[in-house]
Amino acid sequence: MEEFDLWLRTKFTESFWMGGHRFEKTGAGDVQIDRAPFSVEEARQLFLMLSSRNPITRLNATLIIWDRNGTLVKVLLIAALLLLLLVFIRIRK
Amino acid sequence: MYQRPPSLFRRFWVWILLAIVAVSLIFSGMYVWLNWTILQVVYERKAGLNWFGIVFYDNYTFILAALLALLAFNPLPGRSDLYEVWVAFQRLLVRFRYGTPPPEAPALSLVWRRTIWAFWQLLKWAVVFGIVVSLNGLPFLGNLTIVVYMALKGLGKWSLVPRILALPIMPASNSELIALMPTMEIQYRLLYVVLTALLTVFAVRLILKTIRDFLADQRNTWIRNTFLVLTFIMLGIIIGAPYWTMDITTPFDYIICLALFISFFATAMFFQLGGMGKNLSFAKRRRMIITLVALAIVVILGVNGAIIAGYRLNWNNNWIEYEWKPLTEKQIAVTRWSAGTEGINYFPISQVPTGNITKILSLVRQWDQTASYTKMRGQIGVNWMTLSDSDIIYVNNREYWVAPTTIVYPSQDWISKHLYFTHTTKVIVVDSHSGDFVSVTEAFGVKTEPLIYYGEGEGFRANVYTGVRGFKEIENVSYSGEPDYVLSGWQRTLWFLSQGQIGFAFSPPQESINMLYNRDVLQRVKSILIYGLEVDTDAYLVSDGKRLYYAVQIYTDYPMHSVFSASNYMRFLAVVLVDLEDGRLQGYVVGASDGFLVDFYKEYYPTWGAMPSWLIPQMRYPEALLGKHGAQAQLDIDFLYHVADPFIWRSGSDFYERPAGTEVHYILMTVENQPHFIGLQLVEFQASPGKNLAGLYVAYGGTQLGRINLYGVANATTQQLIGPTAAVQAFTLDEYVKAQLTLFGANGRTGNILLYSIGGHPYYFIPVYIAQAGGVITNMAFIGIIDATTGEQVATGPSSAQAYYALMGITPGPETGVEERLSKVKELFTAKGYSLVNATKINANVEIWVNNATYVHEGQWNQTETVVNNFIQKYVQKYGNTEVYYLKTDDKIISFGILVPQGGVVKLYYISVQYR
Repeated sequence: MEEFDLWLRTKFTESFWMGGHRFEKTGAGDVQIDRAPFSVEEARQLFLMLSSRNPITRLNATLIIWDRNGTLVKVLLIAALLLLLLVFIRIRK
Repeated sequence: MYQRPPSLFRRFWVWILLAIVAVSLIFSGMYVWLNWTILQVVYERKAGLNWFGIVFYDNYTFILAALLALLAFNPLPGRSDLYEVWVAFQRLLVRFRYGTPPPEAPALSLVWRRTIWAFWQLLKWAVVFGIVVSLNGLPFLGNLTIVVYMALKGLGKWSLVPRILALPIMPASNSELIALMPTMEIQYRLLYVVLTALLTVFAVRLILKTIRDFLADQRNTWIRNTFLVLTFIMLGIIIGAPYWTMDITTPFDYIICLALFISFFATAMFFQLGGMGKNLSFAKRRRMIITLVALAIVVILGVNGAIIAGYRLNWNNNWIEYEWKPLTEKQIAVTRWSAGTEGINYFPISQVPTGNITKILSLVRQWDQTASYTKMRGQIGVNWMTLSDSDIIYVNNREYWVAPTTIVYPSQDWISKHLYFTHTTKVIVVDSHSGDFVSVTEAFGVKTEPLIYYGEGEGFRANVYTGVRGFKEIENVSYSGEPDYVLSGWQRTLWFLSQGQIGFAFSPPQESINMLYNRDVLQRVKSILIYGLEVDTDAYLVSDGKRLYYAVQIYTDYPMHSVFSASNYMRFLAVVLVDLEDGRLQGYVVGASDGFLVDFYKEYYPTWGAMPSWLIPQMRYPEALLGKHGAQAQLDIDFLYHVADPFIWRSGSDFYERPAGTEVHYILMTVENQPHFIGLQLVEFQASPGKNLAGLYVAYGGTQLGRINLYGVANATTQQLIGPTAAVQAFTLDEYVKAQLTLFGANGRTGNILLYSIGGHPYYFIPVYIAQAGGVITNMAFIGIIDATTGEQVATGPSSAQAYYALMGITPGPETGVEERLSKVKELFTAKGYSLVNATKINANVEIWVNNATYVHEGQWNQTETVVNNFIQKYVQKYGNTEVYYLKTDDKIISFGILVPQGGVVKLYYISVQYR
């Protein structure tokens, strides 16, 4: 957590990677994670979740980020359509 | 400056156009109404049937259409999904063009909005109503009216619907599945169609809303709607699960579908509730629950997918457990039930019925359809008649090719087609064994040849008007029967206007004009059939000895939706007789009660009773039900589905096929010395390089109508028989036949291939005919016989009997001499206890010639025997005579007769036999 606060305070680097997600500072003082805007507090919480040893917590964090940047919708839609197609093919055999 | 005012047309063109459309609509509506009225009267008058009630299912067509059309209604007053999409699209365009969203358009007043909404709903309702009425159901979902009607009549059981829903996870046994089929096709089908329609309507409305929201950039709503649409699709798939192909993996497929349905719905709700939220303030526990649910669904999908994959990997080593028992075995049972092939009896080919050799040889069908048809053409004699079709029939114990005539118009003008060429006058009959022409009166026992006003073919498509003043019919006859309809008043005007006959419309020769309507017998019968009923297009003639009728056979061909049934529901249902002269129709039910469609249709046509006794011997099993190349039916199903062994099924080693160049042949088969009118289909093993005979199907007609036997080659490796394809090869490669065929060139051809069992041994008979292309004369050059066991023994002769004797290498017994023939005929009387009295002269007040026969060689004995026995049965026995007089008219003909005093008049009934 201290590392995250240190990153926020310093201008040493603009972005870093955590658990496969890119954290970036914006000009307005907020944080972008995978191009999705988050407040500093949200980013901190996500950082905590991503550094958790519990895989479900980490998955949770990923889902929150995907939801915010629109990836979740795309993934869900593509998965849903693919599954529907598979089901359709199977029942028509 | 002076401007010319616009012309009247330019000023009122909209109103003129509307007026034209309105007049056209009114005219069309009245014309349809008139046609319906005519049909109603015709079938009430000539068949005792309520046409309107029949074709519109006692008005359920309209009631159901009115209800289903409500699906098009938008229940929110003043709203239209389609219009809202249009508005959203317009706003998007404006935003793209000017960069800013356009101001809200001023809304119409509430009254206007609701008026337009009401008009739009009414228009949609009317369009959907029209579509549903024309289809008797919804597009792509089949006929729903008949399903509702059957449910209302008590067919199927609502209590079985939950059991059907559970089929994917609780498979049924063969017998249970068959018992569930009626409910699956009625109650469950109704549920399925209605729910599918509702889901489709919801989905379409949601798609429109999704497009609208997408264009308006309302993110969560369009995503939610998309997942709701997917939920509806998934629900539709789940509802359709009982119709799936079901094997060992089906329960897992079903669970996957349920999981997907739940997950799509949950996702829709997730986005409805705002997704993960705009901030992370929502409870950690809630996030966890969502994630765990998502994980659980993924696990369910994964585990079930893995199980299916596991089964698939082990499929072949567990094929019987995984596919045969849960699917194929049941498919065979259900398919045999629905195709109506359950009752086919299986016998080894050695048990093919046989009888007296002389008798069999005298019954061989030496003349095929093409040869007899060619021969018949020369008998027409005029340019305005042609043969409609040639059909094989069995009447009064003899088999004939019969071709009624149809009209061919030398002139295509309206008067010729509708007033002059009203009928034909000839029916040509040829003996199928001897190829001799036989008169209609002799073949059918009728007194005169009928005038054919109702028949087959193009010539009977036109409606005709009879008894019109100033016009006469061809051959100067006049229709004497009851007309189908009498046109008068405004109906006559409307009718003839639609025909383009303004004169007949407004200044006809007489006020009332008699019309014969819908004269094509097939169309005449089809007009009263409902969904699931078909006619055998091969209508044939039958007779009760007084009049001639077309027998149009009707069978059920109802689509089954379960994949367990690889066939439609096929049964021989009924026969409708159409009187050639006056077009009266009378149906008779043939099909046995089945607790399903046969019972339903029987009840639907309550005036159709049991067949009269005179009709039964003339009946044959419908060719359309037995099947032919390009039109598969019951036998084609049995070619595969007679197999009950899993390994034979898998290997396909006992599948049959209809050999090229063969079809169902109606022939006389001798069973215990009695001729039976049967349909014969020879079959070969599927894709067999050796073209071996696999068996023969025998479909009985007459008193055993409906009985079908398959005589199969029990052990193909030891009991090899050559198939029909190989028989033709063997025949045409025979040196003599080859030389003859070369000599005949293009004028020679081989006829149909028939198999007869003689002395328990199978033989093929193939006739060879000579005829010029397009000619009207054909001769049977010779007939060949091929031993079916080897195909190596081939012989020919001028008749089937002589060919057989040539093959056997035996000289036929001496032809019975004149005196012996005479004795044999006389013995038919004396053996039954009648005294024969040689008369030199007989005086009677009335002499009635009953029939005649020719017996100059042994091949004609059967026919002679039939004629004499019929005379004994119908006259000698009937009038209680013990003495029969005979008189030699000349040195060739002998007549037998009885004297019957009736009402002070002595009548002589007699038959003549030519014996020399």
